[in-house]
Amino acid sequence: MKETSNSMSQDKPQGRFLRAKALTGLIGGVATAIIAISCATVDRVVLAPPMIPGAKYVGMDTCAACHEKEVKNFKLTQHARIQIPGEGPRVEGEGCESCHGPGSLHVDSGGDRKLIVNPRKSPEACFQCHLDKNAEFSLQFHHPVKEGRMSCTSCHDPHGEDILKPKEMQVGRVNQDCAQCHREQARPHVFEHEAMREGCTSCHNVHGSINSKMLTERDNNLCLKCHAQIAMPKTAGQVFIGTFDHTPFLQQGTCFSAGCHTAVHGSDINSHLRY
Amino acid sequence: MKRIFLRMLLATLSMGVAGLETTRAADPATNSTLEVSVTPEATFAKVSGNTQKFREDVGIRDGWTGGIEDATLHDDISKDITLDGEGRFILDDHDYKLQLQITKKDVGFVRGGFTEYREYYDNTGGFFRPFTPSSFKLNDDLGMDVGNMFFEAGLTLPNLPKVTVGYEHQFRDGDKSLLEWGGVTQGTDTRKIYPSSKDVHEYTDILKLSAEYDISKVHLRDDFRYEHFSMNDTRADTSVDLNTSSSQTITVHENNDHDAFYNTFRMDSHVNDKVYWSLGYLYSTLSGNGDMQVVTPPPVGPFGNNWAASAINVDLDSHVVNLNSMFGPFKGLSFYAGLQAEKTDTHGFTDALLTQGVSPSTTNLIHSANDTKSLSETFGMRYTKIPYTTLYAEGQWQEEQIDLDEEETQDGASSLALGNDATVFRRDYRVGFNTAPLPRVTLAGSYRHYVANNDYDYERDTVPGYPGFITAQDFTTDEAMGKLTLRPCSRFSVAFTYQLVSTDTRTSSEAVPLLAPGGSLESGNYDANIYSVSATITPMSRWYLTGYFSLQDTRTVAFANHDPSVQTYRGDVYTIMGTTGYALDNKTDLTLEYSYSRSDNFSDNSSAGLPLGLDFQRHALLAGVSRKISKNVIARLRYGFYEYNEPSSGGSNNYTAHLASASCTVRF
Repeated sequence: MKETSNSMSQDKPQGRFLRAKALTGLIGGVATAIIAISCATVDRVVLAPPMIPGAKYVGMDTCAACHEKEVKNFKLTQHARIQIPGEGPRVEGEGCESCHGPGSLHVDSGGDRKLIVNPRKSPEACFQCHLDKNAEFSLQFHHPVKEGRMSCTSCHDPHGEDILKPKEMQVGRVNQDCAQCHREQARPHVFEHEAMREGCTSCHNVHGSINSKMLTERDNNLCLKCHAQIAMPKTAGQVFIGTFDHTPFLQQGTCFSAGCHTAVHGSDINSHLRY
Repeated sequence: MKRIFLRMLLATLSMGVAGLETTRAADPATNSTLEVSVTPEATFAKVSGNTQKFREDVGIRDGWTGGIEDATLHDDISKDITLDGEGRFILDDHDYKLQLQITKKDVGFVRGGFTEYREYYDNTGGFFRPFTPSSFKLNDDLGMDVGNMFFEAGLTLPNLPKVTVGYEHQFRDGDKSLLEWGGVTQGTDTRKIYPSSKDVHEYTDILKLSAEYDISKVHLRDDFRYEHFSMNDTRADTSVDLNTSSSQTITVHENNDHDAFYNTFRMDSHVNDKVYWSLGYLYSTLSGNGDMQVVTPPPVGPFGNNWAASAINVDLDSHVVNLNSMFGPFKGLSFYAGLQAEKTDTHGFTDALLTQGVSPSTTNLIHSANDTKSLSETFGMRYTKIPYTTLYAEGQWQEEQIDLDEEETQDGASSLALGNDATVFRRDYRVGFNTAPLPRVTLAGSYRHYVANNDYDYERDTVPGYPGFITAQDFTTDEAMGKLTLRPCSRFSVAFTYQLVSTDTRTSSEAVPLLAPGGSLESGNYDANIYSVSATITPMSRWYLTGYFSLQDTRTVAFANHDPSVQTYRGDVYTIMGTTGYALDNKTDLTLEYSYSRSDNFSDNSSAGLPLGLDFQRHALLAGVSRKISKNVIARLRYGFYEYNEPSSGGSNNYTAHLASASCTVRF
């Protein structure tokens, strides 16, 4: 057993301010020095990912020359419904190139894979539109997408059909995407937890969260928002679940973390999901 | 197992390469373009404070790590044959990847690979300020290796069915933290804050076979998959009494294996430019068995039973059929419609010995059956005739019927008999638009309304109280989203998004004499306002800047009958991120990345329960310089600074870390 200190963090505001000031000064100084000393002529272009230096948009018809099937099926995808129709510079970058970047260099090279954006390799292309997901993947508890160990396509099929249709082995069964990796949690149990019927996202923020295990709430609210009953006035201050007074247990901890209802994904031996 | 697989993989691929080399030797006209790059790297991270928390957050371990950060291989062996490979091998961080693929155009491919990475877990439990000490750590360094090995071969001969066969072995092996915390007692107070962990040994073997073929305009595809899943997990839940310096541990051992077969058949066709249809059928069956032991030190009681379940069997059979179509566009209007029917039967059986309170044990037989039938319908449309504008609307409806039976006998006498017919009706509606009203301006908006009505009809319920208590539950979600993107010039773009989410949960329950009158109440309410801004600036061709800000303001209120231990959950989080890249000269690039996140929702509720919410600040700074030393050599240096402060954990999760890394990419 190892104990930790109970002292609170003692960072003083003055110290923090001075550190921030010093850091800002340092960064500013380095930036100024870099700009000042870099007088050499630079004929390269650097762009923020996922853009491709030197490439121009070519349009979906050009993509169709090699990727006929993908272009043909694009109108079935979820992304098709947000594609802005029309011609000209106002809509350049719509369709394939909205995710894969401008394709002229890729086309000119005969299909060099280094000259086109592959969202499977980096989520930056997806973050261009899904801004909030960028923040969620940066929180303490997240799926390792930014670390490159997963990609958005591990769970989402951007080329998938907008209508209900079997995709590989996943024919629209709830939780099936999560079950690809989390079989222990998603397997059938003798006693199910009905929340699983609504999906894993009932309790988990699957992109990222400030709460351990990516929970949407880390306290009793997570359970009580569903497990509730109208109370008699005389029981004010007490939480009865069915006939059982849970008040002393709620004081000690959260339903699932206080050693009681630990089998939150389902139990093989207890109808109250205790083990 | 992993080593044997890797050897087999390399041997097979080597044979393939050798064969291809022979082909190349015999064909002097072949113009080989072999490209190989290798990036060796070494990293040193120094951490002060909670090392495990750093590992969990950043995903790397402290101290020295090193190896091959990245290796790639591409060879156009001949006009039709390509060899591709990529790898990664970081020692001491259990971060490995090796993938190779040989493709011959219009003939087929062989590919295989191995990946593994380690998920780290903090070993700290909860925090309760009045206790001394106020938080605890496990002695173990927690980490779980996650990975897979796979091998696939496919035939892609023209005018013949495309066939792919494959094998995959997935694994998860190690120790992970749990939120199942043990009790700590000091004086007369007990709080569940003692950390716990789970020893995980899980693997899945998967065999895959798929075939696809086009007959006229109809595309046919069949996917078969067999899975064998095995788990052997042990979790330990320790409670300590600081008054007597004693502790006790409840251990739960779970073994489970299941075999599952899946087969999906699908056919679809673009009849012409305006008509598309598809049809699919999935059959899946799963048969699982296992055993379980719960070992509770004496004295066992109503919530600390000893269980020994020697036979646990769960079987599942499922049929899913769907039919879909799409028509259009007709004058800018496209329609699509889909129908899906599902029937899933689950049967569970447990034969167990249960020791309650004092011996002797009782024999418990448990049986459950769940028969689910559902029908889903989708209808949607898209209109694109308004210049530079797309309008869309979609509706999804699902009717579900679930017949649930649960029975338990104890020494032959019934201890549980629950029969429940549930009906679920879900509706999901979305409307939205995407438009470019002006050059360099795009605007998008959408609205979603989701309702799920669950009604529970209990045919029988011999045990008062949960779970046969809720008679109905309704979930209503409203979501609105708006996005504005401006590109005033080619060097500057900015996007703003706002998202509003509101979910209400309404629960109805039966009356409980003297305790609850029965009826319906709003049991939960979740609100979220999410604001995001993203900007990209390219002041000059050698320099770019990106900035990002997000505020996620969330709140959850649950009905708790004025119990002071339950308070409103607040999950406000600020996130700021920025990156910049600068070409110092034709050979040197500088990069800088910074991210900051903060939450300030801590409420010290020690007098009524446990502290709630989280107060933290997290900084991460990563600066790098890369220099092209020669045509084929690029060297990189990186420095990282990480700081995490969490006053709401009493400082036990705080850490400060410095990271230095050097790498060099060599191309051959």
